[in-house]
Amino acid sequence: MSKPSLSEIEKSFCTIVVDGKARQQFFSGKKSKSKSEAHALDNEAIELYSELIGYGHHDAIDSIYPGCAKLIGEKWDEVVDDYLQKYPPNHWRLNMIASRFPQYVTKHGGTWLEQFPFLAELADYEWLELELMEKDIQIVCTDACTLDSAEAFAKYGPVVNQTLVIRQYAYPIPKIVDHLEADELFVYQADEDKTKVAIYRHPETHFCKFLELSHLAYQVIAQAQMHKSSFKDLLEKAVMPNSGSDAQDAVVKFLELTEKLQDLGLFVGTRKI
Amino acid sequence: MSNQFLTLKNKLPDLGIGFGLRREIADETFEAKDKIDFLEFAPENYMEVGGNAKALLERAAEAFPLISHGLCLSIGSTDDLNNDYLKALKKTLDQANCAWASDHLCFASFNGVYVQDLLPLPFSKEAIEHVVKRIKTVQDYIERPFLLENISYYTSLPGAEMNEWQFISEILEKADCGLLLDVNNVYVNSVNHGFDPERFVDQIPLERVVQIHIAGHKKSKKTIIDTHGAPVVQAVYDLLEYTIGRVDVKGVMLERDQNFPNFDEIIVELEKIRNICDSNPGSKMDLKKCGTSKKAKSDVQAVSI
Ligand SMILES: [Fe+2]
Repeated sequence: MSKPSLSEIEKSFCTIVVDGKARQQFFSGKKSKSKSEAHALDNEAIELYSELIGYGHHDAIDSIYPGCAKLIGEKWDEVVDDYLQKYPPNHWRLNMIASRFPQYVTKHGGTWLEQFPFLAELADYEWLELELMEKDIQIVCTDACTLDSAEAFAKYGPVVNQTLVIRQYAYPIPKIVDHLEADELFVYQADEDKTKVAIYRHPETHFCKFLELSHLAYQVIAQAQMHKSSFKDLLEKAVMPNSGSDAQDAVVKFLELTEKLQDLGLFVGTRKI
Repeated sequence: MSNQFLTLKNKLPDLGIGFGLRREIADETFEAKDKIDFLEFAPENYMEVGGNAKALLERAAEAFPLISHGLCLSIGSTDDLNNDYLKALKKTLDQANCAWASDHLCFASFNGVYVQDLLPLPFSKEAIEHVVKRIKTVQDYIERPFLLENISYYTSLPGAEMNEWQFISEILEKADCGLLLDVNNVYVNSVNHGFDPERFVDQIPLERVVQIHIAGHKKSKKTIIDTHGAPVVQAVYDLLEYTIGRVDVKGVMLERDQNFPNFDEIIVELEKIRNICDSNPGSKMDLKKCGTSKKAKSDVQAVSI
């Protein structure tokens, strides 16, 4: 019998350390090229590799999805194992191991989604925190000019934090996260509103922030992200169509909002349009 | 067989006694600046990453000479070398001004799957040829000396045609690269696989050792596990002492990746390592110079487990 090639050795070793079923079959002789190949490897050592690898993978995923883990409870480890079988780690950075979990939940969530219909959105929300924390982007802040004239209002627009992501969730995800963090049972009421959320990395602390957005704030940010808009454009396109009859009040609210967005680091300065 | 590496080695800076850059204990590490000569970082934690990680690496580069010690180059894998990885690695090495870069003699990925662990290679001629070719590519690409680290392994793979030291030696000579000698890994393997650790040290091309790792491990019933989560044991200090007098080494680094103790304990370990290096008459490391140097003054363009 010809000796196994390096590639064959790597393939079988890799398979048996990451896949429990393959490991059992290998050591029972069903999948090994020969009994002697199985005998060359130490079963206990393979178990050790498997444990060390599994521990590292689970530890990373647990730390990124604490809410999902709490919700699923004692079956969480099985879910993670199934995820890793379906979406094996394909990136050098350990945290990236968790990147496709929201996709997994949407596609393979099955009974978990029946029990917790918001699970995919919760996973998305938890992943975003990590993704934005690590995003290879330098947040470029500029000076914020004072909007003290109609001219400045038309000439300048906000600089949006380059890490900012806004989401419109069908479920009240921030509230669900609060309940999970406080170990409280969350009872979903079907009549709850959709939630609009902003998730972004703070330019100074580098930590991720989550904010629930009003309809107005959501529209303003969405418009500012889509087009390089002046404050005047934003007012006309994102605020006025939803403002009802009191235009003066709408302008005041808009100015207060832009100031708040700047203070919180969602807007990181102004620029000439 | 080329010896160009040895010429390059002579030009490398003497870095002294180093420690690992870990986010969890970064503040204490920076505070102990006068006790630590250089820092080693895992490039995978910083490659193509912004925010806090980037800020941490920049802060570290301000305060210490940095060197990079990778985990996922996967030099022994039969997958193609990952060009995206190499590109990102080179960028990080340049940014951190690393005098040299290292990774492990292992495979860490197969068929595009990264296991996030260091898997052993069969001690075979085929593996040697394969690894040698790839080291040359890597060394050319990163434009700085490349070191391979001897790993801890818990089982031998089928197809061995020689022992570990023969395997390592042949690769180093044929690829003309350096060795990052992990004395804890030598000790762990010597116990798990039953050989004499000093004999191991005697058999490898010591002139190619640029850096030494020292770390703690955990004893389970049958096996010693290389955890980097415990204090260094005396037998490993002894092996460091045995080795240090025989090598012209450019840096000795204490690895601690988990189960972090009070930082004072780390300081004590670092001092013990320094004393061993200092008091050993054979040691060729210029420690006094290292203690005061702020940056690698390398004219050669300038890492954890
Ligand atoms: Fe090491």
